[in-house]
Amino acid sequence: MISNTNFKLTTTGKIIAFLGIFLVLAANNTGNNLLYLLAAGSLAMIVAALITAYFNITGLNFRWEGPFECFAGEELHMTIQVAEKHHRYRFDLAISCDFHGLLRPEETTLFDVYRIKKKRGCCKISDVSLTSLYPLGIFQISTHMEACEVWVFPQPLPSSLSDSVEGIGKFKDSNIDFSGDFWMQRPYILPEDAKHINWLVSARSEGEWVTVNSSPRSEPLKIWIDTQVLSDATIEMFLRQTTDLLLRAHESHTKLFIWYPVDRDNPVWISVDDRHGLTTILKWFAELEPGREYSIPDDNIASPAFRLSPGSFNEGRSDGGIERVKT
Amino acid sequence: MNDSSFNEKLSSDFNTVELPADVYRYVILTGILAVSTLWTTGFTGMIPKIVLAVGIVLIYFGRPPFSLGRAGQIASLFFLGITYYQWKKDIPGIVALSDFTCWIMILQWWMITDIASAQASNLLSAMLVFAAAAMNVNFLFPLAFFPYVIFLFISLSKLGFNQHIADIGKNTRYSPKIRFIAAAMSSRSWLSVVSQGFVFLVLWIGFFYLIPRPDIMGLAPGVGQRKLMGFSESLNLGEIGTIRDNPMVIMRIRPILNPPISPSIRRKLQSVLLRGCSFHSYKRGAWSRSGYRGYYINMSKNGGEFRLSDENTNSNQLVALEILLENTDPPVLFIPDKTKTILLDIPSIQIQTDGAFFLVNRRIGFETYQVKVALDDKAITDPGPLKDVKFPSFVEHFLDPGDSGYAVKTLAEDVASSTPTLLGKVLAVHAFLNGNYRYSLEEFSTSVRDPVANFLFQSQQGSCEHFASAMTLMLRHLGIPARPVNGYIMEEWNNFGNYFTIRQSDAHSWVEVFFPDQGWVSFDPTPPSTSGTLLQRFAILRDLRSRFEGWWFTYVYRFDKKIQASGFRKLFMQAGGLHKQLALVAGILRGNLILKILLLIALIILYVFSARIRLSKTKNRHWIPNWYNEWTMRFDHMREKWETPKEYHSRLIRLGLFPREMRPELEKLEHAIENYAFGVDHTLAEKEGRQVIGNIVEALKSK
Repeated sequence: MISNTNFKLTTTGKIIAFLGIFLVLAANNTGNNLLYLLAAGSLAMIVAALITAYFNITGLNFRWEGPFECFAGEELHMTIQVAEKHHRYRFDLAISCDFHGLLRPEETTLFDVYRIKKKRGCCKISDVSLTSLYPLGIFQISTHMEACEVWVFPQPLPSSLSDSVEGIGKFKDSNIDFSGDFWMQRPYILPEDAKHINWLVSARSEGEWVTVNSSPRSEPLKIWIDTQVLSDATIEMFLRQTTDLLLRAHESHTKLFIWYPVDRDNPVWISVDDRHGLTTILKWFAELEPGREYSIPDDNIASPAFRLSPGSFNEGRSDGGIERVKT
Repeated sequence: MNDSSFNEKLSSDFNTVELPADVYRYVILTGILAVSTLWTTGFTGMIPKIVLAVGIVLIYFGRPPFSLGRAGQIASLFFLGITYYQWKKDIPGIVALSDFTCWIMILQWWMITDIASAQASNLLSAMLVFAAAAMNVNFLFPLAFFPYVIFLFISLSKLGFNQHIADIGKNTRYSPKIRFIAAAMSSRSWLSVVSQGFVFLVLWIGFFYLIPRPDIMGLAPGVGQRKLMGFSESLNLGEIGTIRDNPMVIMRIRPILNPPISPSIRRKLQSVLLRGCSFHSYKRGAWSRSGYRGYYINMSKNGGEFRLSDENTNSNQLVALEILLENTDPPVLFIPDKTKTILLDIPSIQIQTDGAFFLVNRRIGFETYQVKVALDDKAITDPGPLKDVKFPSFVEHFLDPGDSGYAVKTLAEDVASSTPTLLGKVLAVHAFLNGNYRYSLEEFSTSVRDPVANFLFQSQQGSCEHFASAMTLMLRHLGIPARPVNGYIMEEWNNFGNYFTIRQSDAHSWVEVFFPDQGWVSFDPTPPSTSGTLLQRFAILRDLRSRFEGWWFTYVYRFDKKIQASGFRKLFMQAGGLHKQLALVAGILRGNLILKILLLIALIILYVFSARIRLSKTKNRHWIPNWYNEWTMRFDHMREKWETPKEYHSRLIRLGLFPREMRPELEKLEHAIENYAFGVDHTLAEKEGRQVIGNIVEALKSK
């Protein structure tokens, strides 16, 4: 990893340097050997501190243990590996708030760096440096770390999917449903026809529930995210709500597939049950801009896909909800 | 590098990080050692004892026991007043200032609360050491100085460490995690630290010799060759190179006048030449002093007074000058021309037959002597036609022009042909050189056989030595005894310090011509220089330099050998007095049973009192004990501030750092911590806790 080393005289160092120059002038003016001795001592202190500080910090190998991912607004914990390869003892090293008093020769250690990123996106954290005031606090020497790539995903916003007609649907925990139909429930409201009640789910829940949309557990649930209807006003909220949805699906090991059209030549369905798949989708969310056009799922699919849009999460909208994609 | 008590004092606002006790103690110790360097001068009186007593109390507490607040600031004004009073009582300025600095340092110790105030104390201690060095006294200084350096390094190192932690806290909102403290330092890591100290020592010695310094003790190159850097006992012409303007101070001359010097007298003094030594014979461009003999004079027989002239001079025309001569090489005493009397406190000196005074033994520091100079403008009497003048035999050697060429003789005769008298010829040659040749410090020609001929007929420019040599040789060719003289001119007046400053760059050569009735009379054929140095061109720079130099000399450096010697005597008296006091106390104690009992009771009370202080400190401490915190800091995953030991141990087990089987031992440890924090017997609880920690460490090692 390439790094830049910077030196800065601290206040103590500036005072010692000033005193050293003053002593040189005084000694030269008077010929007093003791003053020469003190002047030489001051200058030697600065030069020795510079040399020691330089060798204390140079030659270290740095490696980010990344790439790093986090949700917007949450604390990001990064680690950087620092390895000593020059058979030297290193003293008083600090990166961010992590301070190591001693690093032995050929030793490797980890430093923790914490950050909070408020905006989603892929960014580079480049303001991390290793600092040291060793040996006497005369010089502050710092080595700048190479920038580290961080993916900041949309902050999950718990919300429920809205029904296309009435009430609010609930995303039920897969542990409750044994029949396999667990998608899109809503409370039963009088005077609806009671035959719509899903008794299998209702028997294990409080109240009665009506299935709005369902998909068998054994079959994968496909969702197409309609990015064309996203605008500046709706995109952030939509992405946060969708992220929350996907995370819950991942945690409950739902066979949920998301249409991933980023690669125009090879759009695929990505499973959120797989961590890598979830990460891929979230990375797409991190960089998603309104108005981008992507391909839609074609009609050569074995099972129908559901369309997810900002309206899917809105309450009381007549055109909301997850729709089946017309094939 | 840090002690565990630091972690207890971490707060969310890192701008107010309190200084750890051990760092505070090192800062106090550094200050005490600085005062010990001052004590070696013998001029400190009661102050070192007060500093030591206060320092011991503060070291014991590890922090200021109470805040001085406004009282500290008022006290500093009080001490300033005392210092002013001391200075008015003719106590040397540097002594008064050192006393003041000691008092301020004590007040500062009482106000140390953070890193910045601790650094201020270190700065004050450094000032004391500088003052002791400036007094330039005796061999005891290094004995106190080197321990001071060691403790200064330790306190700077600790302050730097704490500053780093504080900076981390300021820049992030997280608590700094401190890992691998001094407990983890092995002998090899200490060896690394020691080797860095060795690098410092090597650099120190190197810089001591590399710092540019004037020609003292033959340290600078070329001191044997005359490069016109200043006065020397040789006079060799024909060397190449630009003359360096060396500002090193050779001497300071202070008129001893009451009332102070008037501008007219000052102007007259500025025309006075300071004579060093003269030269005898000329050969191949070089003048030598061979042929002069030296005589030793016992100054103590005459009460230190040496009269140079029996001529009665109106006392109103005599000006007494005090000359402070720096430690230069060669050890010549510079005597102003027209000096009547010299006053020295040196036991013996050497005087050579040309009237040059040399020191027999060179003492440390600067030499001080007084001269009385006649400033009367007595005109030179012309003895008449040269052919009628009879010169005494002892000046025959000064008629030999050496291997100077025939052309020089012809030129001299042409120049002096217009006048027959001795004085007329001298003045003609003087005017000829002064008006037709240019002053320059550049040497353009290379390896000329006769530099004087080259100066007269080729280059027509040269330094004062060329002018002096040319005039001397021309006069000798005319049959007039003459000799070149090396010395200094006295031009630079320091208005602030009321003295003349004579520097290496003021070195000058002129000519002495023998007149039968008047002896050797000085003539300066060198014309004034047309170009000046930067300082000469910018008066404000000159003024600033004079002010600084005057201040430094008057208030810091004016510390002559007499004062140094009296300080040394005082030091021995103090040491002897201390010994007597100790013997007195021992004698009293030996015979007096009641006193012994009283002393014992006092010690017991002190012990009980200190135990209560320790207990009250314990009450204000965080309930997690230090010995436990020290142990937890060895792990990568440190205990968070909000975690109890039980929660922390559970986390360590979850992370896999501790096996589940160790749970019972950890519970014992938690129990010991609770007993320590909330129980009665802290010592037993700590012992149990440490034992459990030892068992856990052993168990982990065996796994």
